[in-house]
Amino acid sequence: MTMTPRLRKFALTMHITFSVGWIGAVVAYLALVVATMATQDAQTVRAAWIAMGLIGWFIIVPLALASLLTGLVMSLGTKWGLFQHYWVLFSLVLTTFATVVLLLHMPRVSFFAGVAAKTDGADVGGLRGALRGELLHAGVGLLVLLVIEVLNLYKPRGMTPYGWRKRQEQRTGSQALNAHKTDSDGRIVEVG
Amino acid sequence: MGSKEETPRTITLGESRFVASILTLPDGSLAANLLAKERAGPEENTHMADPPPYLDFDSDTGEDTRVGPDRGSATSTPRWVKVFGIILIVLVLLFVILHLTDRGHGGHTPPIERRVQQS
Repeated sequence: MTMTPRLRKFALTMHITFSVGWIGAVVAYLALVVATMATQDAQTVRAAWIAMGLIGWFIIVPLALASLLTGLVMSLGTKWGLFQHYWVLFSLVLTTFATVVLLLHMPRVSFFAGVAAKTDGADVGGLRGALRGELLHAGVGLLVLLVIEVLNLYKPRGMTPYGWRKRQEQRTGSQALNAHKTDSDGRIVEVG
Repeated sequence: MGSKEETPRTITLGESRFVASILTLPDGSLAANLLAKERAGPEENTHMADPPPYLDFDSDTGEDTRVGPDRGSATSTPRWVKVFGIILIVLVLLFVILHLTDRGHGGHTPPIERRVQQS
């Protein structure tokens, strides 16, 4: 089913907003991680973990799910299709992978955010030690999102075997349609 | 030999007006056509113009999806797909290995979280 131009523009606007928003939120998250690793202040470490929990659950996770959903709508609602072109397929696989890893990782962030909220003392060694994992997750996550962005903008050539079959079917269908012509009375006649 | 070869050139606006005025048919149709084309000149004479500097978001319609390898001749997998595939597999394996080693052997709570819980 192909979308109307107006609906397609709206869906594209939503998709770009959610996807770019996701990248921006991960950059903000990464900034918190790096800033917290550089500081010696225990209060800053605790505050950063609480902020990371909030950014993760209320910004990054919703944007990731919305981006995945609008991406599916965009591919299924246009002639690109979901499995016909390699760049669409890779975008889908990478987005799904990033979302799954995010959802698996978020309970850990919630755990440390909870610990940071309960801890009163200056001993935040455990919270500080856990930041290396955050740097890895957010860093690799950002890299994956940038790769998806580049794929979506450049749309490198390459059709999947399914895409080729689909195109052949369309060609066969259009040739069959062209093989019919109307006579002088407007009736459809078969030629060739 | 010795004669200069004339290179074709684009006629100017004034020349085209002149041609239109002298090639008028009795019904005036030719002149009208030429003048109409002349008025539309700036828009039509853009076959060598640079592409627009903005991003072509209309390509997202999927109307022109001719991005297949060699546009119809070969159905082989492009090189970038193979490279991306290998990177993706490595990424997934790395994630699985890191996840398993982080969890330890059979434990549900990662070591760092256990340490924080104990402290």
